[in-house]
Amino acid sequence: MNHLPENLLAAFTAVHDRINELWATARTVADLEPLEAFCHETYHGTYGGPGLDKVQPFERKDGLEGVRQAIASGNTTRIENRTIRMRSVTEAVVFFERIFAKGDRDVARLFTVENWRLVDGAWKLMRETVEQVAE
Amino acid sequence: MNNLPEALREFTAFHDRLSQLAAMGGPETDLGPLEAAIHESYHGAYSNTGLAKPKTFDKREGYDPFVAMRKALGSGHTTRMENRTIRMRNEDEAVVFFEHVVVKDGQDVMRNFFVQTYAKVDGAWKLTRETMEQVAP
Repeated sequence: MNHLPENLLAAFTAVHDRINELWATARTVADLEPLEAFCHETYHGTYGGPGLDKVQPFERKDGLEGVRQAIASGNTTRIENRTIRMRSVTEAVVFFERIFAKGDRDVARLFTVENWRLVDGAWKLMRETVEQVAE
Repeated sequence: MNNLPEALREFTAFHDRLSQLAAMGGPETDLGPLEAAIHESYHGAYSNTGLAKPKTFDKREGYDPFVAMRKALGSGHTTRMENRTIRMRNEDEAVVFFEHVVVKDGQDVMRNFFVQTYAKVDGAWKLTRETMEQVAP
């Protein structure tokens, strides 16, 4: 796992940075369109949160709808404590905390683990697990 | 939501103790304190390097999250944690991320991402849920 070229990590990190910049500057649902292209058509995930016994599966349309609602409600978002590991030249795994803020106030924090794959030359989000820390 | 320094300190000390036990253990290590820290309603969701939905495990269905750990302790592996992040939901609930690295003969042979949730039950911290994502190999 430690024999992959450094520039591979740097290249993927640059893609992830761009996507986060898109998120952080999105103010309307229309701003999210370029982001949605990064979610593979088979993208799916699981959600865990306060009071939930088991994680709940979700599909692409549910995941995208959650993002649209957050932006439509006037929240902004940023990430903290990101860790990226390359599984191979075509796969990456990423952890970060996603924070939604209303003005200066943090209103939600989620731990996210993402799986990315290089598909036909473009990085696509394939699968993620989300654990909501707090409202 | 991060305004609980006392609770964070106390939980972190607990998680440190568990992690040291797991990291330093050998074949004769008593895993009792680790096993006692698993809530009876524990659920695990494990993903490997494929794209399928996670496999889910339920303690009440007889799943024992320590089978692999006991095997590892007996085979000369050591483990360490990296990049741990702890957030308190409230005084009685914590959420933790860390990378778990398995080492054999000085080589990292496995790396997994963990997200765990803990709840305080009758004064004792219990692992209620975890998701594991296998990074490598």
